[in-house]
Parts: sequence; structure tokens; C-alpha cells
Amino acid sequence: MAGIKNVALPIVGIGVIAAAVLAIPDARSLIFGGNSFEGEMPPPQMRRLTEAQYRNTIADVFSNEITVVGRFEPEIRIDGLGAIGASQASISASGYEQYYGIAGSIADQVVAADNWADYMPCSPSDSAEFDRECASQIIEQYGEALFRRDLSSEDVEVWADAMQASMAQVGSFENAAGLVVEGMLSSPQFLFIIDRLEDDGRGDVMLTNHSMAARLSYFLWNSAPDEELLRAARAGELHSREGLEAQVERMIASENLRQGSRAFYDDFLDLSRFSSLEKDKLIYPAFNQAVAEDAHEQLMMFLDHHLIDNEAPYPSIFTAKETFLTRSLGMIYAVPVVPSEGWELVRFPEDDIRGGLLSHAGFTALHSHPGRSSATLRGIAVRQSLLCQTVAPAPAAVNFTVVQDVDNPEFRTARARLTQHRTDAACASCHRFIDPIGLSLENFDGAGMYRIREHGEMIDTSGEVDGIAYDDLPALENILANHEAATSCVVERLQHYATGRSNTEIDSYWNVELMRGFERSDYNFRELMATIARSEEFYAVSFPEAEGGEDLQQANITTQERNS
Amino acid sequence: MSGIERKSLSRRSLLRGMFQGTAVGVGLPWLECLVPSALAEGAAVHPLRFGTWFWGLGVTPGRWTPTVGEDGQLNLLPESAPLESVKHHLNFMTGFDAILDGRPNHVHFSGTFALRSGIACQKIGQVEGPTFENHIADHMSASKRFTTIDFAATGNPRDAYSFRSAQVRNTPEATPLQLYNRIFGGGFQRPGEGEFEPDPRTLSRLSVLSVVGEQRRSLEAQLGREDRQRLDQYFTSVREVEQQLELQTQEPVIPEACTIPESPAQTEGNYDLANVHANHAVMSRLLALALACDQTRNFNALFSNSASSLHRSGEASSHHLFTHEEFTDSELGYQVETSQFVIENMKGFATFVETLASIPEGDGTLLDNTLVLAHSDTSWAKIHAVQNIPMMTAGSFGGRIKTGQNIVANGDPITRVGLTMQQITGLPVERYGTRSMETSSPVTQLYA
Repeated sequence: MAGIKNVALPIVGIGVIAAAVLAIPDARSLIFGGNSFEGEMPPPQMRRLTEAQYRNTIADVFSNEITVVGRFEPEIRIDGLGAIGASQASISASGYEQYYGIAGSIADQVVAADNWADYMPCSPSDSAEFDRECASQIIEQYGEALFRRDLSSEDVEVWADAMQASMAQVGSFENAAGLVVEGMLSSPQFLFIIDRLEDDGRGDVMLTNHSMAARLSYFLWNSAPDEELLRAARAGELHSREGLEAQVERMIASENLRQGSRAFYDDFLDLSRFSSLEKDKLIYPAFNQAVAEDAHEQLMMFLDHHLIDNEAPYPSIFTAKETFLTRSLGMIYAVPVVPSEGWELVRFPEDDIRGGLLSHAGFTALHSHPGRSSATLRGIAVRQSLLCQTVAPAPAAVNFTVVQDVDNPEFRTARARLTQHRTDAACASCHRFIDPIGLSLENFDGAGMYRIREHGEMIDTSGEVDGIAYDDLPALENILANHEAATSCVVERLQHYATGRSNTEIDSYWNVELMRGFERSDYNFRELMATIARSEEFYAVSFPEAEGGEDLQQANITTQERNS
Repeated sequence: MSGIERKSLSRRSLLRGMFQGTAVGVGLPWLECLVPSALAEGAAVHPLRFGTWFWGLGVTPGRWTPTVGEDGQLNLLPESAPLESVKHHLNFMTGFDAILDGRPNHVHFSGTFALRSGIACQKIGQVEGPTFENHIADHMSASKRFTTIDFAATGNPRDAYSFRSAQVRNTPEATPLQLYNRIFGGGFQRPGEGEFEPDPRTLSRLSVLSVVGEQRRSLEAQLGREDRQRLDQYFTSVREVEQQLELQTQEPVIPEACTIPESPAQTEGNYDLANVHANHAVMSRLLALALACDQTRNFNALFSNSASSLHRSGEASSHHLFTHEEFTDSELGYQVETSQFVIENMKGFATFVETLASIPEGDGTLLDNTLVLAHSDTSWAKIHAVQNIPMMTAGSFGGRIKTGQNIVANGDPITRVGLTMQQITGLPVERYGTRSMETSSPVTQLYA
């Protein structure tokens, strides 16, 4: 590893470096108690803001009155998460055009005459005169908030000069300020969360206070650091264990945690698919856009209710009986919903098939074809998303003809058709692994509506998963709730989600630690978020790799679903 | 690893090198060949355009590939019949294979990227290297407002197979309104009345963007190699926006053939066949006008996705499900519903070609100055075959392409077609493709 002198460190506040060098000879041990961990440190990161992060950041830095209209770059999923894709994605030309347009429209709103006083720390005495002091204040405030770092005086100077030059063209101070805001929002320092490093006092590097704040904030709140976190960063408090702990505790207790937990559910369960979810209007007339939106929101509310509000053990999401309904979802559930608008907490009887995660319309309809259910797609979703298991892609030369010829009189149900399919040796090994889980969900049609029969035949929902035979969906839900892979999967995914990287060596050791802690906490998801946020590994960083290394010639595109 | 061996840098790369990181407030130098036709004296020389048109799930063996009659005319078969009215503008190309050299056939994926990147991908969903039409676009649209205009008629911006690099997929417009707004919305300069005055705000925007560019070096210092590449791609995208702003500071040059359309209505984007046809027709027209107005010279159009999700309203199965599940009709000897979907895709291509041909340009039409490469992801979708992937060209590219042929190869690498497209559009590329697909042999039958 190269020495610190060989690296041109970026513009970190010089005072911060000095403070770090003078006051903290061994900063990392001070923060985390000196238990250095095993394994190579991961390189610094550059993560593209997700659409939700962008929107939350604008709402938090300015206000939620600001409208953000435009198309965002589609997410890239790698190793099961968009968060890992964000660490590898860049921005296309057509994508940047959109970001640039969005930036312009936000800036126009921010500097509009009616809004100026709400957003700006100062006003020039004369609109037609350039007021450098006020300009610098604006640049410092929004530079720190949008770039997630302390601006050096040179940085401020550069932006102030640009603003002054613009004034000559656009006439008013306010318009020129708008162009600066637009420029900042178009900068890679805003559109990517870029780690910034400083000397850790032992010849290695660590994240600056501001970069720690950004990492923490985008993980727990899926948004930019708030004023209190920025204050702590400015004061250097995040480099002390107590300072970091205090912030984690505050943020975990905050309502804003829901922004973070929901962003994770979206990524974990690949709910971005809702944006292109389509149901055939003739086959499923009850399933419209409102239902799709509610089914998405329902999953979020369901998971927050159990995992964040009630702090119920994670496995309980498989067997839960409480969820939320709107009137439009009531049509799908065939359940009367009292309030004409908004949500109602519903508790299903113990012997009802509804209630658990898998029975939600947001799961069954999402993992179906536009015109019918799919045991295979649902089985793959459980195996891959919820158990983190790998399902091999379908072999190329396969004749699927018998699988779902829905009009074949001999094979009336999905089970009959898939059983026939499984007699084909090339298909059998995978489908035995996938299908039984999906077949147990066949009581829900392609729109998530309950049915007992398919083509007049009773649907059999029994099956066998990983060597355990069961009779019906509730029994399967119990098995999944007790499945080791279910709890280890959510730990691994949250860990990868937080760090934006797939397993590195340190992550493997850390994963074992996190697993133990998760068990000890009785699978408390909220606690797991807090544990990750205080972990040394979460902030671990090394010098950027200067030369060599694997050339990243590959990007994951959202693969055409093998079976869609 | 790049599938392409280049002799020299493209003009765009040079321009990028010249302008990146510096304050830019001046227009790009104009090359004579890029001056729009309206300005040229004497015989009008019209700009040339190149682009791709994609459809998913190939064709049915024996029902698409035309024969050539004694009169030299193409005799179309049932699945190519929708192209009857435009067949004299087309070439059919058959017998070209994606050669995988023992690498897996990633279904609905390997075939497309064998042609587009010259590489048989090792991992599913992971594109190795850029796709060739980007090099062509960098070369042909260097001074244009857009390097490329891409659209997906399916409403899904993920349906795109043009990759600028492994990390950057060119994001297509997915509804007619989005496409209209991008081309003819705020950034489009309409011919004004009186003397042209550049908007001072635009000049300021350019100088502010140059501040964004100045941060580049300090950012690079703290990034690893992969992230520096990502940053580089980011700044390439910034450069395109800068160029758009620069063009706004110059008096707009509106070619004769340019008509400015009205904004289309807001429509849904989805895989419903009827809706795809409707959106595709509107989007084809908007694209054609963008080309006529010289906003770009390159495009990627998509009618249906790889492993096509197209479906007819009220039916439980999509085109993809039909290809695998539909029984072969014992009397007819083919899958009837599947074949019908192929016909629908060809109707889409006919619309696209007719639209380009409907725009007059000089003595001919826009199509005469365009080269379209149409292709699919697979040949016989039922078994995911990547041999004999169906391809067509449309347009004569300013008289450089001979049309009306059925060009038959005998298991040649599909990269021969990729090489030909690069050479004919003027790229100094000698060889293209990797391993068994490496080739230096263009499809010379295409040359007029």
C-alpha cells in the first residue's frame, strides 16, 4: 500500500487534516477501541444517487415543496442489489440531459422571488450589484449540503467567480445564484456520493467526518445529512466513538428511519419492478394502476409495522397476520374496507391464508405474468431474494411446450403442467428446487386474488422444501420463518446494501459477527441497522487503487427474466 | 478488452480531448462535410444517417427468408410479407452466426451482443465492451445536438441494447411524449424572426458547467481506476450537454426537409401489442423528423424487447411464452401464434421504413440517405438458436448501399455485418470481433 505522501489528497479542510494528525495519532483505534479487523480494506467509493436518494435529498436540503420532474437513469442491479449497481454505474448522455434539466427546474424554483427568503441565507442589498459576501454564504451553505463536504475557500472562490461572471450576462444576483445551484446539482459531487479521505495518523487513510456523515445518512435515512449531523461532522465528532454513537442513536430513533428502511425493502425485494408492472386488463380487470401503487405501499407499511414499529423478530414477516388495506386493495383481497380513503390495519384470523409476506398482492402479482400466475417466477423470487440462493439460468435448448399449455385437458393445473415438465431431466434439477414453493402460492392468481380451483380442479398447495414436507402455505411460511437462510440472507443483503459492495474479505468476518448479534437480539431488524451503522467495517476504506487491478469491463444489465 | 481494433481516434474523441476541462464558450469548428444541406451550394449534399432497429424473438424457419425470383425480385414469405411495399429498399441477410467458442448461450442475450460488441459474453447480463454503433455515432454525429436518439416502443427504458461502455447503457425514450420533449421540447431552437441573439443565460450556463468540469482533476485524484473510468464517462455525457448549449448560442440552421411536429398526446407505455404499434408509429415519425431536422444522425429504435414481452390484450401468454409453450401445428408444421407475432414485428419494421421514406429530402427521401440495420436476438426462438440470426438493412445510404437482395452466408461470423456497418459509415476499422468471431471480411455484396 502506498504511503500517504504519494497520494494527492483532495481538498479536505486543511484544518481537519491538521487536527487529525495532531490530536488523533491513532484515530481508528480511538473510534472503535483498537480492535482492528481481519482482511484487506475496501477501496473508496463513488455511488450514483438513486432516484429516491435524489428526491429525498432535494426535499431535505430545500423542502418538499420543490417539485422534481424528470426521468432518472434506470437502476442497475448487481448481485441482487441496486445498491451494488450504484457503485458501478455511470450516467449516459441522455440520462445527463435529464439530470441537467431537473437541476435547472429545481434551481428556478429555489431562487423564485416568492421562495428566495425561505431558502437563502442572505439577500443582496441591490439585485443588480454583485454581493460577494452573500454569494459566498450561499455557496458555502449549499456546497456543504449538496456535496457533503466542507468547501475550501478556493472552492468557494471558484463558484463565486462563476456567479459574478454570470451576473454580467443574466443581470440579477438572484438569477446568477440560480445558475450556481443548477451547476451544483449537475456536478458529479452531487450526483455521486464520493468518498473523501484523510490521514488516520498511522500511515493509512480514513473517511473524513463529512464522508462518514454521508455514508451514515444515506444508509439510515436514504438522504443527505441533516443540520445536526453536519454540525457533528464539522466538529469532528464522528471520529470519536461517543460522537458517532450519539448520532446513530438519534438517527435510529428518528421518523426519518422509515426512508432508510423503505429504500432497503425496495432494493431487497426488487420492488422497482412495480414501475413496469403490467396486468392484462381483460383478464384482471380489478388490477389497475391504483392497485399496483397500493400493493407497493402496502408491502412497505407491512414491513415497517412489524420490523420498525413493533420490532418483531424478522422471521415473523413470513407468518404475520396483520397488514394494511385500502379500498382498492380490498377489491383484490375480497375484504370490505371501511375508510373510503387511506389505510386500515387489518388482522386476519389465524386460519386465514392471508397475512404473511408471501401472501401479499405485492408479492404474488409482482411475480406473475401479465395474464397468469407463475409458480416458477414466485419460487425463484423466494429462493433468490428471500433466501439468497442461486438459481441456475434455464438451459438454452429446452422444449417448454407442455409446461403451461393452459388449454391441455390433461394438465389443468399449474402443478400438473410443471410436474410433466419436471420429467425432462434437463429441467428437473432446477424446477424441483424452485417450483414447490411457487406451487404453494397457486391459491393466488396473477393479480394476487384468492382462488381455490384452476380450470375446475382443486389447487393442491402441499409440497416439500429442502427435505421438509408440508401441507399448505401456512406450513411453508413456518418452515421459511425457521429457515436459517432466511435470517442470514437479510443480514447479508442489508450489509451489502449499506456498503454498496459484494463480499470482500472483511465483510465475511463481519457477516459472522452481525449474524451472531442478530440472533442475540432475537432478530431485531432495527437493531441490525444500528449495529451496521456503528461498525468499524461500515466506514472502512483504503487508498484508491492507482494502477493494475481488474478492469471493470462488465456491467450488469437487468437481465431479461429467464422466464418472463 | 475491446472487440474493435481502431486505426485512429474519432473526431469526437479529439474534440472531447480538446475541450474537456477547459472553459468552453465558443462554437465547435464546423467541418465542411457536416454543414447542413441547406447551406451547401449547387447540388445539395444531404447528411447521411445510421441506426439500428431491433425486434425480439427472431423468425420461424422457412417462413421468413425470401427467395429471389428469375426477375431478380425478392419473393417474400408469410412472415416477411408485411414488408412487400418497402422490399426494394431492403436487403435480407441470413446465414450469419453468433459463434460462442464454447461459451454459454445466454438465452436472448448472447446473440445480440455477439453482433453488437463482437464478443460472446461470459456471464449472463454482463456486457463486455461497448457496442459498435456508439463508435459510428461518435463519428457521424460529432457536431450534432444529440450523438444518438434512442427509443423503445415498449414503454420500458430498460429495453435497450446500446452500451457506451460496460457501465453505461444508452437510456432510450420510452413514450412518444418523452421522445417529443427531448427532441422538440425546450432545447430545440426554432427559426426566429429578425436577427439572432444568443440567450445570455445559455452563455452563463456554459461557464458554470465549465466550473463543474474544473473539479474533475481533484476528483480523479481520490478515485481508483474503475471509478475514474466512470467519471470519464460522466464527463463525456456532460460534454454532450455543453455541445447542445453551444449550438443554442448559434443561429439555428433548419434544413429544408425539416418540419416541426405538434406535441403528441400523453400515452401509456406498455407491452400491449396494439399500444406498441401505435406508440412505435408516432415515435418513428418523431425520430424521422429529428433526422430531417439534423438534430442527430444516429439512432437506436426498438419495437419489442429481447425475449419479447409483447402480448395481445386478453391473452394469458406473451410472444415469449408462446415460443416455448405453443405446440407445433401438426398439419401446418409451425407454431401458429408465435408466427403471428413475427408478422406483427415485421409490420412494425414496414412502418418504420415507410416513415423514413415518406420524408422528402432533395430529389429523394430521408430513407435514401439513411442506413438502418435491423436485427433480432435469436433466430428460432423455440430453441434459442443463435445461428442464422435474421438481419436486414433498409435504405441506400446516399447511394452507397445496393438494395433488394437476399445475402446468404454460410455460417459466417455475425461480426462481418458489424464490421461492414462500421466501414461503410467511414470508421477506420480493419478488424472486428474476438476469437472465432474476429473478422476482417466485410459483406461486400452490400456495397453499391
